[in-house]
Amino acid sequence: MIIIIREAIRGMIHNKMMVFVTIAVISFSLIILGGFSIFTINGLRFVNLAESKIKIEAFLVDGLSTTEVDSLSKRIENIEGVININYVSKDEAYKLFKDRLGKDKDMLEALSVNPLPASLEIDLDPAYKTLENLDRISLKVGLFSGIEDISYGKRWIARIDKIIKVLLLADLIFAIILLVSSILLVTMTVRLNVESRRDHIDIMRLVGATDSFIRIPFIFEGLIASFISSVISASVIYGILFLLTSRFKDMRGDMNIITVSIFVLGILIGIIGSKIAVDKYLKERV
Amino acid sequence: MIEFSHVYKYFKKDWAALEDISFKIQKGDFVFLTGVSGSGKSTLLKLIYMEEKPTQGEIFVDNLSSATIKKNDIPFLRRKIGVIFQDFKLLEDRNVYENIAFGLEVTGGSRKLVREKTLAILQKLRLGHRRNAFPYQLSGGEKQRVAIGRALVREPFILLADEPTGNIDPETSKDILKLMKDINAEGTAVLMATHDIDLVKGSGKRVLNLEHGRLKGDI
Repeated sequence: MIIIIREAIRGMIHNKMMVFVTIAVISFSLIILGGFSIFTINGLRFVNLAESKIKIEAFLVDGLSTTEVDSLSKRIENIEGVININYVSKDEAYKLFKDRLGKDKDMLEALSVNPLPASLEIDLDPAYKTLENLDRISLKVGLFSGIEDISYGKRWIARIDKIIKVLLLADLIFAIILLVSSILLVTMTVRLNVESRRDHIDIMRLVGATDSFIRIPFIFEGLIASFISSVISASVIYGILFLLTSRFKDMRGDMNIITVSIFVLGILIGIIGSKIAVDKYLKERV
Repeated sequence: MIEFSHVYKYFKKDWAALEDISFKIQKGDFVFLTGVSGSGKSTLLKLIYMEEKPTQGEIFVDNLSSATIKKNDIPFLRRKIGVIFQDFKLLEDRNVYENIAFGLEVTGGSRKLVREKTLAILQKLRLGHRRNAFPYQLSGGEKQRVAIGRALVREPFILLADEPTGNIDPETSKDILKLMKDINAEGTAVLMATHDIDLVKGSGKRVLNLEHGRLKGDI
């Protein structure tokens, strides 16, 4: 083991430039991957936030008694997916609308009657906030007597659904491309390193070193290089997250998860890349 | 110990590097392998330490057959064979001691064993005073002695020498040849490829002569 570690350190000193390039390549890839993770996590979070605000509004016909409203609420509550119902009276609706109008509230005051209907705000389980479920539940609610109209921002929901799908797909594709290209880049860099030490490897083989003995120092070098890269990129990502979360309160980091993931990923990329490169070289020559 | 049985080696379909080679080398033999450049001497040596495999025919080295040996067993076979080259193949970033010790270290020898054997070889090859010198500080003859030391430190049963005097002056070449004979006298077989007829003449040793990949004489 001591010999292997010594060989790895010797190799790194001998190939300083290659080691530097490997560290730079891994760090760069990881920082981009980390940045992308932050973007994705927050993107999805904002989408979720928008989704959580989705509610079905069932407008009631004028003149329903409290008993009628209660019975209607109970019937709606029994529909699968409904978790909460909030009654907004005509007066409350008037007040809310007036508040929303702000300085234009005079327009509303000019009317002699309250034109706004009372409504039931129907809150759904997050799993039911899909276009199909909203359509289904709205249809059921609309069939009850006492319901004048239903609104749930169909266009919005369709758009959010599309955003989630596109974001997740783009995320997956981009992450795969980035991971594969990082491994390829590391493989190529280590391969150059291996090629530059072919005489050394040939001598090792000549004196009877086994392939695993030859392989281990290179993988160890990959491990050291990737460890350094991981420390660099995890620190950068942590720094970015720290700045963003302290500046934008809505921004979320999941700092530890992202930082640790970047760290582990970097080490894996280094080891896998080194192993592929050395194995390929050893396979080509006996 | 080493046997070639109707060995052919083709690198291209219509170009044979070696054709129908058959011979035996016994324990403790000293054999010259002669022939002009390109006659197939290096290929023949590579077949012995199994860097190359024969296209046809079979080679036996220390009871292992080229036809059945597994890739994983080749390193263990090589530990019993010493090989030296015209260009020495020394590690430029290591000194004389480290170059010789390297032959044992990569095969997992203990630190004590490596030290004892390396120091013994340094003394035997009269390199003790140069143990801390790096290859670029050595003469051609010294470099070749270090390469021989690296090969011998593992106590091989045969030493394969591919034009070992090709890069050194005639006087030093004679010293190297004498060293090889001394090694042989201690029981290690030697197969020395050379195109230097003057070295072979009057040596009284067996000569395998290659011409265009064919064995033209076994004298």
